[in-house]
Amino acid sequence: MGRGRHLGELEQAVLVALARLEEPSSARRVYSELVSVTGRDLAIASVHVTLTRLADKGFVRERMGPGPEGSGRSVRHFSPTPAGFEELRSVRQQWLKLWDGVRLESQGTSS
Amino acid sequence: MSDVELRSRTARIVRRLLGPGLGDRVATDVDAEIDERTRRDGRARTTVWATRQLAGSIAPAVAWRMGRLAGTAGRWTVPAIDLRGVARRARRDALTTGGVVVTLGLGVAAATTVLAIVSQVLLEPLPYDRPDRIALVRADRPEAAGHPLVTGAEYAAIRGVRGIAAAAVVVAPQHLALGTPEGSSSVVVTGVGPDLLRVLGVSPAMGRGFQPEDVDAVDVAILQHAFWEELGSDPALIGRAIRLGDRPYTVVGVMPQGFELFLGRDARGGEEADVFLPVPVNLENRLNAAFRTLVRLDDGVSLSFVEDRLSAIPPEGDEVRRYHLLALQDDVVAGVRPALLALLAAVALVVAVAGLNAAGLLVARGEARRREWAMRAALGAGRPRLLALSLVESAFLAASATGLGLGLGWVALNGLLRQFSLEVPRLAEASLDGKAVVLATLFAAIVAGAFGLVPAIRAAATPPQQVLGAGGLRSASSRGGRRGLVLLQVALTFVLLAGTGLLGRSVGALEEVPLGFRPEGLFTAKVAAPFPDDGEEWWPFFHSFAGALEARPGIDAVSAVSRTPLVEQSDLDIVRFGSTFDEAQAGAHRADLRWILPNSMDVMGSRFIEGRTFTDDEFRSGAPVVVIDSAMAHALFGEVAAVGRDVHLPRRFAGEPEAARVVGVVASIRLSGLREAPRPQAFRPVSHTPWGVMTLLVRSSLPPDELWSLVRRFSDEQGARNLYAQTSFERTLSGLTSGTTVAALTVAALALIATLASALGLYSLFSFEVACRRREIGVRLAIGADPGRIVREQLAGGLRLGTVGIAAGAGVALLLEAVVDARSFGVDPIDLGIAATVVVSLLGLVATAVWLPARRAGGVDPVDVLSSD
Repeated sequence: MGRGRHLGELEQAVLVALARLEEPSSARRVYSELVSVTGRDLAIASVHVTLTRLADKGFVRERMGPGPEGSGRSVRHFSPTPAGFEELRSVRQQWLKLWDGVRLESQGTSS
Repeated sequence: MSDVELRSRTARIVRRLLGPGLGDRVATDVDAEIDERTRRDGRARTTVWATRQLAGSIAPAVAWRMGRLAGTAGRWTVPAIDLRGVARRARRDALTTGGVVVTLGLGVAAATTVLAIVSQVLLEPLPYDRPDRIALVRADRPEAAGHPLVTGAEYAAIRGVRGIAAAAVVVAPQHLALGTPEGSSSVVVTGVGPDLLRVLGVSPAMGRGFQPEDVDAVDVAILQHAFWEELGSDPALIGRAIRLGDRPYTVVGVMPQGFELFLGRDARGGEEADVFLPVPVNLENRLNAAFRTLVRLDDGVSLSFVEDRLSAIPPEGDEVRRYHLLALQDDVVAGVRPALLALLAAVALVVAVAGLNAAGLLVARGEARRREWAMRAALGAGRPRLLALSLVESAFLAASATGLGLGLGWVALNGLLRQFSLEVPRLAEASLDGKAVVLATLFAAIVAGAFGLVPAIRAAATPPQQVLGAGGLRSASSRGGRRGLVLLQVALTFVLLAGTGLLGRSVGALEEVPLGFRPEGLFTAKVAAPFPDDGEEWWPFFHSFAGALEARPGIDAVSAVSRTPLVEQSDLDIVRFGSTFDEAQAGAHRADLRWILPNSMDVMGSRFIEGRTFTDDEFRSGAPVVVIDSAMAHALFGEVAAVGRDVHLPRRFAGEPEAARVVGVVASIRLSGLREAPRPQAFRPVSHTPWGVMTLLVRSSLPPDELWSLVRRFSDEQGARNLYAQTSFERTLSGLTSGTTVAALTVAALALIATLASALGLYSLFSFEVACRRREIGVRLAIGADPGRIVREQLAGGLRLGTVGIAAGAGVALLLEAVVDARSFGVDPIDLGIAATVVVSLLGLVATAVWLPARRAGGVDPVDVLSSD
């Protein structure tokens, strides 16, 4: 993996959200997905900037698609590239390995 | 706010934050979201959401814009990560970062404070119209060179000289009683020539200036703005009369706010005039040099041109005189210029120490991080990225140091300096202005930028594999450079510590000057005899005043003398004397002559070496008697007893020498300050001469407030015309030593900064060296070296460096001897005691600063070092 290609926390979250959506999606859609799944609000601007960054890194591709219903405009839609999926698999693998065997239930509680 | 407003305002801010393109896209989404949320959650909750969106957009917007600045969106992460990295590294290298910020900050503080003072006091033009055209006339006289006063006849000749556009006289300020319905208070009145405002190029804020005809009437006055405010700020005061002393004066004008009359280095300080009165000048008078003369030169005429014309004025009598013309600006600051320049030199040293120290720390850190940079370079970071990284760090350090330094400088100027009553003209107006801020920023930026960037440039130029393959941190050349920097710091610290020692000893020497009287519990005030101005009535008034006051409870003893010892002097009191009339007339001997009451010497606590003071009979009958000091006795009679012999000196003020019988000889008294060696002195009964304002001497153990309220009541009962300038000799003495005390404290503060910086520099240098040599030390310990020897080696290295630094410092100190001399008193600039103390202290400091890293070196665990390899 080259310089600057590892994923930050928000980048991972945005890429996972895109993968969950299973179809090319707008930044706003990604934002809604993140908010509804995680329950944490974040700035729409962060999602836009992160998507642009992921595109620069080659992890997502963008193309124009239909905008909100009735608006008649087209907006950018994003979807993970094969490299993006590969990166997600790798990150997931690392996390799973790291978590393997960790039993939080029996730790950190007062006896 | 309506929905539409909320949407449009939020969208506008988002666009402003992110710029066109991305800003438009985000704004569209935010707009749609607001619309949807307003319908779903209501307006209030949506407004909260929108506000949080805006706050949350700032960080990505900054990152986005910085990424755009860096060139491509792909590199947008660089500066953002750098900012976080800088903060992270600052925390990790707290000692280095703190050291750089604190030392640079202290340097900035010292430099900005002193530059602000120097720029205000020495460089800022006087607040007059074209002040470079205004000059003060000084005359060389037998009693003093560069004397600021001229006679009426001299003034008449001076104002007629070609090249002088206008001339005006100013006489010494005096206190007059201001009559008000509530009683009387004392005001400071300065007599000025009618052309003064023309000379200065200043117009009154209200009313008019003086006119030539005002001088003949002498019944008009111009008020200082502050005094006019004290009187109620009434514009209708113009044209009305106020009562000063025993007569009314019509107010014709009020000066502009903040107007100050600067009269040269030896003008009486601390007594700004409340009122200006026109002063008549007797243009025929050739005896009484009483007028300070300011002139305005014609345009295009040089000082030297007019000075040459002045020299052509025929000399008065047998006294050869030469006139000098000094730009008023230069004359005002002439007294403080050497001290300020010495301070500037001291600050230059501190700034150099601070700069060197920060540079040393930065270079060390750069060296320590070469491996990190090499790693970054190996991972693909280009030279611009490395430089940008370094630049961001340097900017962070410079900004922190500038902020700290300006803050400290502000505190120093507005807090500390105001604590001292310094006789430095225009000091009160000194402030940190734009120039100071620019200079401070430049200094911090240059040091942090240059020394922060150098290691990055070198790292970028070195192939990474060379650095990484070497497995180490260091290069011999950088160690030599750092040692040089630390050596210089030690040298400069030596200079400042030696300067502190000399000035400290000067303060001690000033405090130990034999005064010839006991200042403890001795209070002084000026008392004016009552009107009418009948000179024959004056001395009986003072005599009975002192006697009656002495009888009041709480008062131990009272007397009066013609001028206050230590602070009041006049060239008119410097008289010729000799053992015969002819010898006195020849003018070979000159003495200070003072008029006193019979008990003055007793009240002052002066010591009679021989004889006694005047008897009451001698005093009342006006018998020709005199008390002289040991210097005069020695000059006239050598080792032979003086009592019973005759000396010739004036009996009356400005009189001819005549014979007087010596009745007593006293130890010399310091009449004119602490620094000047006393002249021979003579004391005659005040019954010999009309003397209208005397200095009251009161010995009492009462608290000052209680004492002065008692004396004031008493003075009113006795009908004294005025009582003013109440003080004690203890306060007068502290005023005389305050300049040197403050200089000593300032240099001591600077020396402290330099000492701390040097200690930090030594500590970081040796810590760094130990870190670099850890492997070598580990190997030596593994094969059986004694840890104690390793510690001693480090200590010896530190002391060697310290010794060389001290030797260099001693060399610099010798070169700067003249600068230190400017404020020192009664000490040898090459004082071996001080030098030895400074050497021992500095070596102690070096040993302490090196001790911790040395101990760390001795404690290196060989197993740990070798296994980590």
